[in-house]
Amino acid sequence: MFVHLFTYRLKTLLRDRALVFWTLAFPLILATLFHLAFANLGPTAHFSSIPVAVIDNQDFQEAQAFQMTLEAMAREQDALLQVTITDRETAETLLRNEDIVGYILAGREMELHVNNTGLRQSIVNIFLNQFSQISDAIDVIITEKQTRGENIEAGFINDFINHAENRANYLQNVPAGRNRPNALFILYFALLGMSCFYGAYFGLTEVMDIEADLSVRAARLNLSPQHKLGAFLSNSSASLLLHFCGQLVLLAYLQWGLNVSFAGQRFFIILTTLAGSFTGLTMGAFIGTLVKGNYDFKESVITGVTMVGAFLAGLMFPDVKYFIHNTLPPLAWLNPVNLLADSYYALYYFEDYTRYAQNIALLLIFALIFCSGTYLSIRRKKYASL
Amino acid sequence: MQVFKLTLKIIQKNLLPMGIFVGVFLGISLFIGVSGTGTATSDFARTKIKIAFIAQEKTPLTQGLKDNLEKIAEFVEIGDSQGATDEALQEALFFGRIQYIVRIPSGFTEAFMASDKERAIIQKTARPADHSTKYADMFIQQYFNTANLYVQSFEGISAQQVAAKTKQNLDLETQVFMARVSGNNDTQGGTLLFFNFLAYSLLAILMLGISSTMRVFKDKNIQQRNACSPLPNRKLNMQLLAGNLLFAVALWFLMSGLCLLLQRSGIFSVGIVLFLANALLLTLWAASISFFIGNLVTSRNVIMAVTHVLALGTGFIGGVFVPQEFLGDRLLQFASFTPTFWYVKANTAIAQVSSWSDLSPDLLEAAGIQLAFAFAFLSLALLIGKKRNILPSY
Repeated sequence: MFVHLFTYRLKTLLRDRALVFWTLAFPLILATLFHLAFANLGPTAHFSSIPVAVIDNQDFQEAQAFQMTLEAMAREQDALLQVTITDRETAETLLRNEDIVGYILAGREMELHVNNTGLRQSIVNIFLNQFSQISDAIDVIITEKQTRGENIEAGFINDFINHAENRANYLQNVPAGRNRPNALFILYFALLGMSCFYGAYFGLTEVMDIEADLSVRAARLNLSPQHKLGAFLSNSSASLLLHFCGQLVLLAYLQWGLNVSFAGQRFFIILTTLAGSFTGLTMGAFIGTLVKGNYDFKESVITGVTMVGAFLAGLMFPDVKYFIHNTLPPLAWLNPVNLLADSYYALYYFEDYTRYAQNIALLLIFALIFCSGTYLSIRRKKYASL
Repeated sequence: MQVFKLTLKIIQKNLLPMGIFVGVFLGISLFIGVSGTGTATSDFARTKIKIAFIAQEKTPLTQGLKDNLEKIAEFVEIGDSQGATDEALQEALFFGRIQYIVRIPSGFTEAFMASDKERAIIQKTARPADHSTKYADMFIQQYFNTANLYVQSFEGISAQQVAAKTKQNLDLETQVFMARVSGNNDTQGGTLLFFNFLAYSLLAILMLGISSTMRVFKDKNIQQRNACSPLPNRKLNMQLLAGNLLFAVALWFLMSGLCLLLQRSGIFSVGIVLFLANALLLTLWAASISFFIGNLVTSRNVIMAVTHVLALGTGFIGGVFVPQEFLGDRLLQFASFTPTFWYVKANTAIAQVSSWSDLSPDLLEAAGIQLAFAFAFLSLALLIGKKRNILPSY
């Protein structure tokens, strides 16, 4: 009987083509948008040239090294800055009209005039800092050499400047935890977590279709000789299968469509996703039975709980998660969305599986609570009238 | 006026589920608005990066690096005096107590002074997807590249001298002047985040609320009864629209009231007035999109999915969650076809405004485009409404 009910429930769900489409489409569309939004944060971040102006005053005339640097930059293809050399008034007008990000006054200590704080202004600031610091070092070295009476040959200064511009790399990046090619995929875990918990809507639909006082279809089902719990289990399994398949499609898309690699953790990621879908579904069912009201109300409670959970898990703004862990740790443990998100992160960060196991165990305890709650609510209900 | 009054009645009945949404989103917005008040001040004070500095040797050079890093970092001690274990460090990184780990191996200074490029390497671990750590990278590279100049130029120079001279050079910093004081100094960070988040929350609330109201009118029986009535379709749709718009504006009032509560400085400052005006525009186009979707789609689950995709999706590419500065150019071009993008753009501009004379034409452009979107979606909605209500003859 289980197989029969399971198959027909699956057919019923699949018949709602719009539902199927959106269950699949929603995470895929979001994954694509994520990918596009975060593409510029990776190691190949590309910024267009920043327009700035340099004031043509006496200091600038005397700053030969600076002039040479700017000229070299102008010859480059993808220059950091797009420089206009002009007088102060024009520069101020340009700045006011936001045609330039800021204007520069050359000197030993440079001056930068900007309108706002922001990324581009910071980049110009850093560039100027680095330039003046290196120039200062070069000046100090040359002066010192002259004081020592060392000979400075003709091409020395140029060679030296060239050498100074060849920056060496002193840092080696040690990945946090396991060896990961692209650290950004940690952000996709947020998406996976959120979409696992959208299984709650499936859970709600299941409860609606099994509780006789909630829908006509359920009333008919309760009249049949089929045991209510058996029907509920087979129906829910169909829902879980459908939702989980949607998640698998999302994982596949992430892996092959967007090149987000899960490097050897595939099995555990799928396992975590299954646990997440299951918990999401049971949470939806639990809320469906617990909360009294019409369908819209229950739906809104589920949305509310999922949203708050996702927010507190740091899925919209990562800093929230750290804030909670450091000030209110119990809140982190009581939030199933956070437990799911942390399971994914634990797979990424840690070599061993202790923290991962802890999180999954707690998550499944939640699922158990939801299951029991739902069971106790729907068992043996008799209605005087409907 | 019956349809109008009826719309309001339906909304009233739906008030409880709506109330939950509104409550949840407002709660989140408040949280953001209050805690998001960062150190965005009118000078270049950056939030300090939390760094765990682990040096396996203590030399003037490494001490010099540490002293210099104090300009941008807040050092966090992990572990005990024996040193931090790898696990403790990973945990700290995981829970956000630190953002960056610097590990200096023993023998580094010696290798550096000998210009041994291969052995003079510092290991760093950054928290993934945290782009503020790139600044720490640049800082450290700059320190050693500058120091290296001395090593290359003077044979037999001591580490102490190198450190001292490098420090002098690195004390040189560009003086930055703000041409004008940024508007809303204290609350710039929090308020901007609050209003940007509205692009997600208000859109979601309106889409869910308005579509559940519209669903009542889409019931086949009710549609047929309405088709028999003497009230022309156009008027029916207009009244429906009016009811929903009133609801939307009421929501705007609520959000504004809340926002004013958040304000500490100048309730009627230019910035706040502009933010609220922009939010009103948001309400208008969000309401018209919701009206359009409500006319188009009736299935509950589809509405839920469409809401999430549109609200969250446009939020991401429009710059609500990731600031527009960090988004790629092509993506921004694509996003400029969504009203969210223009709303966020206007907000970013408003955050910099400190007086009425600062109004830039960009702001007016963004406002105009948002109005255009509102108008476009409204027309589309009314068009669809008209077509849908023509039922086949029997």
